[in-house]
Amino acid sequence: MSRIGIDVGGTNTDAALIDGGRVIATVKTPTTADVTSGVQNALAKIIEATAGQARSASLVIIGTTHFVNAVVERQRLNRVAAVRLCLPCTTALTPGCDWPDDLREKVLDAHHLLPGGFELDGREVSPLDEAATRAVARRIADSGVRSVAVTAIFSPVSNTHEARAREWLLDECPDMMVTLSSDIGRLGLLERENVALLNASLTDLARATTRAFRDAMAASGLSARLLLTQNDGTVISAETAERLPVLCISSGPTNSMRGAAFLSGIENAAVVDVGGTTSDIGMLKNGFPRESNTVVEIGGVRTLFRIPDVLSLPLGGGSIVRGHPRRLGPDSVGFRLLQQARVFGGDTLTATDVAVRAGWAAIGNASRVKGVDAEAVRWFEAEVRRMLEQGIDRMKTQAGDVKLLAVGGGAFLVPQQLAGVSEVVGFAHADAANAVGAALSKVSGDVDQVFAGLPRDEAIARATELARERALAAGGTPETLAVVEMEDLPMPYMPADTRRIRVRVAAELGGL
Amino acid sequence: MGWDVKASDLEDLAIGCALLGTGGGGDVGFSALALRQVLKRGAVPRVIDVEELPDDALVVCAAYIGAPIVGQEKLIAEAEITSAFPVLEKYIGRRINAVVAVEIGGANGLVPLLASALTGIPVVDADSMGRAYPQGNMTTFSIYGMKAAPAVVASPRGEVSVVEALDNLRVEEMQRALCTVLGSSAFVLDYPMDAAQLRQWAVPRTLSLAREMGRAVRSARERGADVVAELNRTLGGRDGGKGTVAALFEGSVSDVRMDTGGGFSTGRLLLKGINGRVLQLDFKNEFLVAWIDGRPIAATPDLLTLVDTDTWNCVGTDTVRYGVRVTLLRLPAPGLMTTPQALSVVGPRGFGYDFDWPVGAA
Repeated sequence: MSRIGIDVGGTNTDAALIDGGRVIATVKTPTTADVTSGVQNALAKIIEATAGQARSASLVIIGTTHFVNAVVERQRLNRVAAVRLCLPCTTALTPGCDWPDDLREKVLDAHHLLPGGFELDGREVSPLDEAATRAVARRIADSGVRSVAVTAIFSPVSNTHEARAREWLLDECPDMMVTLSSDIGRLGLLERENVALLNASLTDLARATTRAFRDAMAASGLSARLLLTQNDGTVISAETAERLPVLCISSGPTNSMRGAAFLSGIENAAVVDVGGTTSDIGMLKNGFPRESNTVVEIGGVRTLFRIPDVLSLPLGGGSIVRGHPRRLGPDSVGFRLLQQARVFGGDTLTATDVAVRAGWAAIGNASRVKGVDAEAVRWFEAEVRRMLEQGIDRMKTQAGDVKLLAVGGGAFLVPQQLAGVSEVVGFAHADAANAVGAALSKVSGDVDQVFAGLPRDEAIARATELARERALAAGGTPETLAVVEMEDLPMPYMPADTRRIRVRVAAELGGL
Repeated sequence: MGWDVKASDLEDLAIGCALLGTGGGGDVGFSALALRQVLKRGAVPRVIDVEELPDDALVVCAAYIGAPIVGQEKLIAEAEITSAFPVLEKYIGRRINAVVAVEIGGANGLVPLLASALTGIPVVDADSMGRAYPQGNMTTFSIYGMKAAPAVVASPRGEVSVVEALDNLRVEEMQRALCTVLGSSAFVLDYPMDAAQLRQWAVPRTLSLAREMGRAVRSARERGADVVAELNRTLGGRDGGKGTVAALFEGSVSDVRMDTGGGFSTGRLLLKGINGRVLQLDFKNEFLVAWIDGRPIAATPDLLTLVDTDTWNCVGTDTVRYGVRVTLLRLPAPGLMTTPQALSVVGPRGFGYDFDWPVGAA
């Protein structure tokens, strides 16, 4: 059973073919403005590189930047209505009140606050008001808006109000697309609502994107199943991605780290992905990237996405090196490396040039950097070392040396020895680790919930069971279910036996 | 001198309240966001100086209590604020003339401004801690023998309960019990007092302090200038020249130990500095004592606050993690918190330590 993984990055679209747990080939092609052409090119290239073997892949797994680009650029977003089940609470902070004005004006058509929502212990804040909710549904239908986000207080604890509201909305307007915040968000009302609203604004684009991917696959003669990678590195079906595109808003770093784990065989390590402009450092735990616990802003909107905790350093292959005074970056020639770097005939001294002079890599024409003096090389090495050592130390959660996996096109910049690092690990296909990671994605089931009135063991057991159910529902095979993360979070000022439990269960995709 | 709060003040106030939160006090962001929304509707909260109050004015403290996680879901309505005042006024039989903050540190520093925006009642430029603390008895009002009751506890549904008890600790217990019944997030008015009492026992001009600190940090950051120097330039001359900020230590968090029994986050951090020096920072919701080589170098009631060295965002006891590069700042305690009476409650011995304030310099 073989799989094609594709990762759409800022500069390159990479593809990998995996068969029988082995990487058969990886290819790189420039990312195109419309994204889809680049994907089509990547498919064509991987088929060629594998002498047609890629055509018989049964799965194509794609990680894409379509959705985050749309939000950041405010392009191709549809208008949405916000429905919040909350009265009498939350009225001082209306939906979208913390958004940048331009995005709010572009996207948010109207907001409607209704009775509903839950207390922490599962009692209702208010019962739902069917008549009022149906009236809101009709108003939204009359407005022409066809995408709605529904958010209820404490819906991660109980989603029944959101589900009921969706029934009534669809009854009044059957062609409405309804996003429930409980399907995609965690605790924290405004952030969860923001995620739901962003999702609702991406539904048209999601349908167009999955259709375009399917067309690209058909044009390449592939009859594989299409999956998309999520922020957390697991996959969702194209059908789910059409409904919940916001889950795919940022999967690049995850794919890169997961690919590094697979290619190296190491599941617990630091990973540095060196690109043209930045080096992104993340931490792998049991094969998955450690997640960010802080608020993540997408296009200026506060969210609590489960995205990897990544530290971005201004160090890349194209980073400009200056002499008076000596400075490395933060600016970079980026994708213009092939025109502007000295080793390629250009005039700009870049990190790649100095690395070639130092003998770290054999790229381009080495004679064009003979003039770079030894002192400069020494300074450069010390600076690169300092940036990476400090960055890695910031990302650690405990003292002690870690292994470092180096991936990305600029991985040659990583010194073989670093303080705080027990071993720098390199491996084949490291420059396309992201596509490999996409190909190898698992499925997961996640739970982030507050349990009240249960002893700790029982709360954990219940959370784990729920996570397992969700992983199975996502297509996981029962024999491969495994708990990859479990957190018992403190809750100050709450009565005893109230705890917040986060569990993630991962599994291999069924049928493979 | 009084002043009107404008939208352009909000960011500075939020930064200042966060810094004065000494690692606790909750997320200032929500109060600031709610205040911003109310200001958009045309409300103008008025801040008045302690000296401007007529002697017979009735002043009350205003704050939110409850579990932070519930606050993050139920946010702020407005009904809890607008329903609380009439009930307390009816019970006491007098109009409320001004509100004041219990603690300037953290989210509750801005709550009286929100109450003012919604009711038109002015806010006194003061609070009863000069920072944040974990317990209700750690206010100047409580320390100097004022009565917390009669108090009210109000919910977003407009349900309001009056609390009467002679013992301030009992008032707090009753308030917390009511808060649980009301859904673990509630608005509270307590410590009704005359202006004369307020003038005697409140820590003065702390809202202005928060705004000035926030402005200093923001403008220094924008210009790439030394923030501590800018803070001292701005604050120098306050409290007769004692209002200085000192950067005590710079390093990264090398260990975090925390326990959440009893409803508080208690524990300690270890910070590792450049030359391998290690500083231990103890906390109980808020930062309390800093130690080097087994000697305390700074202690409550002096304010200890932690900022991210790179971003100058505050690092709280609820957000601190291994590896964060931080700078430890110390601000002097307000005079009212350094009397023997106050020190028995908020000094080191009040937290169970076996030494007195002030402690030797680093």
